[in-house]
Amino acid sequence: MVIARWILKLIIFFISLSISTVNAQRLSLKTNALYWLTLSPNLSLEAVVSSHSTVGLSGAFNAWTIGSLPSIKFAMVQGDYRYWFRAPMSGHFIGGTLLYSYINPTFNCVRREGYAAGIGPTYGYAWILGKHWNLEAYIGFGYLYTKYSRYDHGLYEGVQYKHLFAPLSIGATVSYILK
Amino acid sequence: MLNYIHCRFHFIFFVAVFFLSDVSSYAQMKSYSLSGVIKDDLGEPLSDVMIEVESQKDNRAATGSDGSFTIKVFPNDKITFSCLGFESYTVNNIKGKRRLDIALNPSFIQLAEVQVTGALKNRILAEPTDIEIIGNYFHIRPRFSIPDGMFLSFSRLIIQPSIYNITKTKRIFLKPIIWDDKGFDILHERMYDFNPSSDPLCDYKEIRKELRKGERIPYHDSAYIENIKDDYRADVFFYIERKGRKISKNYIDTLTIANGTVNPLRFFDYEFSAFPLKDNYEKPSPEKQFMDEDGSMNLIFEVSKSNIDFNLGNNRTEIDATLHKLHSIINNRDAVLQSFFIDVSSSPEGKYISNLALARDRLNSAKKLILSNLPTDLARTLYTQSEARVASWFEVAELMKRDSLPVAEEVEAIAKKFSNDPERATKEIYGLGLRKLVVESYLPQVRKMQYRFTYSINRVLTNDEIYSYYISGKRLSRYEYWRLLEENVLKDSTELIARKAMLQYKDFLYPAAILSELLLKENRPDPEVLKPFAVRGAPLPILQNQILSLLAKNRFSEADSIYMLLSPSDVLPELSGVVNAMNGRFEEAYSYFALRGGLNEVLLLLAMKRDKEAYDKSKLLEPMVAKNEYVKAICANRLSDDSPLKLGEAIMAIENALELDPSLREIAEVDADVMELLVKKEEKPADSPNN
Repeated sequence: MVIARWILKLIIFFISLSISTVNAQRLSLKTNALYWLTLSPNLSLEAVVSSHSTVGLSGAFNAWTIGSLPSIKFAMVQGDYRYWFRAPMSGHFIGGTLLYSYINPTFNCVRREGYAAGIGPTYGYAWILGKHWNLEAYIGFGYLYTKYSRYDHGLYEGVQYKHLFAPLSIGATVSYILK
Repeated sequence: MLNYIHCRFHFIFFVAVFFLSDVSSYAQMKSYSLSGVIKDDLGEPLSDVMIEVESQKDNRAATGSDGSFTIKVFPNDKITFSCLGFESYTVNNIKGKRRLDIALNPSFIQLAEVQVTGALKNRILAEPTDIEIIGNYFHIRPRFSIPDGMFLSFSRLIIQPSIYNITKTKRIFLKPIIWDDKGFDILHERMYDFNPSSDPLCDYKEIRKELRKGERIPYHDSAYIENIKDDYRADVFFYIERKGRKISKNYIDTLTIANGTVNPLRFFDYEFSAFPLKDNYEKPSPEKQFMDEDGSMNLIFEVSKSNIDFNLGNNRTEIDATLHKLHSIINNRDAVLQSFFIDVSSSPEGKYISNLALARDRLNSAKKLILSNLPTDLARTLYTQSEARVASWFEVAELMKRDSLPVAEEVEAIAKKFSNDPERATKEIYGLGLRKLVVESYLPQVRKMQYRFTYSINRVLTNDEIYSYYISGKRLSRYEYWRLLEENVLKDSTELIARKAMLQYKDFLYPAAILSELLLKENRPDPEVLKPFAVRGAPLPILQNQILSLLAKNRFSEADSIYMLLSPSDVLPELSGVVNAMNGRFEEAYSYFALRGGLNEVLLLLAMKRDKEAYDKSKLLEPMVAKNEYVKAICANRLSDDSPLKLGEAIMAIENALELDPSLREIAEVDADVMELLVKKEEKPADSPNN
């Protein structure tokens, strides 16, 4: 149910985002193939804000368990800023990302439910496939902080806090450039 | 702590939404419109100046044809203006100004800025070429070679040739070569919101994958030029832009590819006399004129009587004269009586009312008399207007003044004082003892009857009549102008008469034809005279004369379009030959002029680039004639690349030419065929092979 609330928030978020960004210079809609591999639907919106930079906002979630596979339920929003060396949405870029996620994975009958927040740099490259299509690859590591409650076989075991150095964004993204 | 973050998230959530909307409209926040005009160092407006605004690197603007621009800026923006051929100008902080007028300084022929990637060989080069004049068109045919590694991915190459008029310091841009790499093209289109037509260069651009090694880019364009005698130069601007780079880091270069013009036909020799109009035009026919005739009828009436007594005084004679005139109009088959007016005035002595009644009665008598002498139907329909009035004492006083009578002023004073009471005035004036004088000499003068007939008449005026009408400024009909010009009534004013006729009757061919013939004879041709008449179907002499006028003014293309209206058999063969030659149809012209030899033949061979034949024929030209020597110099110089002896010949020939006619130097200095000889002449050492 928590997930449902999160998904609702994400939907509202994207609607308000699309309304407010109608005045932006250039927008692109992207989705990360790697996330889809884990059956996590995701969508991001990127907007050009100056001659060399863009900001983006993405959302992703996973709300299911498939058979006996470990489930990685989560709902995440992530914002990032990118500085492009040649031109926005083309070539090399570096940037930073901020993420916040609700997590609820289950592995080996151990369920951890809680939140994670992270910040860190990213680097990537965008290839132009056509007038409206791009392919991006990027990677980013950084500082991740999580707080979760641990349930072993359903038994509540307490709250844990972790500070990690972890990958914050990995992507092979296909983007569609609007306007 | 995570709870804290969680709670804050909702806040950040919505802040982010507004942040992004803020951020996305960043470019529109607090921006305003800045406008201005960009001119060059001579005050002429500059079009196509590129304007780059710091805050909106993707949206570049350009000035329009009047040099003006309007752009969206932020209060502290930095703006750079650049234009090929001029030094860029940057305003570091516009400080909220709403208007910015800039003058750009021209940059010199050599490099403005070159991307330093190695030796100077990284320059776009052009094969040497000439500006060729064919008719009124300037042609250039250069070929460009671009070194490897200059046209990279995400680049746009611009080659912009231009023809610069050195005499008038004006530049004409020819068609540019625009090459876009595929990546550049896509990024560019995304920048313009996928609307390629908003790129001002979109009509010229071509998408190129890559350049083959050693590939030469051919180019040919021409421009229509009116004053072909000025000094010209061809400059080419090169620009390679790489997406994402600042303007100053791109490749910018300028090259002069041609100096002077090649136009051997500038010496083409021909003379034609104007073609006479003869009879192949529509002669105007006589038009109806409106005339009027005035006259006065001095009838005497008995005092206080209004009937016309034929036997009184000269009444009979007067009436007969009037009626005679009337009848002559009626009986004239070419005249139609339109109306007649009668004015009657009676003298002012005594009661006003009775005087007025008297005037009216007399008027009616006269009217009856006239009308009774007209055919009944005419009498019925004729429009008559008449006025019966009483003269005033003022008029009497005026008459007295005219005769310089001393009492006139007194009479005038009385008239003024009693202007509303003529009876009283009468008493006063008579009281001055003037009764006899007034009654005998002045009252009869104000007792008048005047008439006027108006009628229309088809009348052919005699030459003298036409002349007097013209002198008096009366409006003449086309027929009358035609008579004046045809019969040459006023020999010295033909031009004036013709121009007046043309002004009054804009579609009247005859005076235009006469005038244009006259101007050609006097060697001051004016193509504007016949311009409205030189159309398909116009008489042959008109069209031929217009061709002559246009040729004389070096408007060869226009002469050609008139020439096209005629069939070749109609046109004088020599005129055909000249029009063909001056419009680039050298082969056709040559078929006429080859038979006649001489200078024209040599010039045509030069125009056709048959330099060897030209050289051989030039040997047959009469020596020591300035133009011939000049042309010999051209012929020799064209072959001088293979033979240094010919170069010597050329130098000698041009020296002879300039000695015989120093005015040729002006032409030599702009003539690409010989201008280099002038320099060599100055550099020639004493022991050259020619001595």
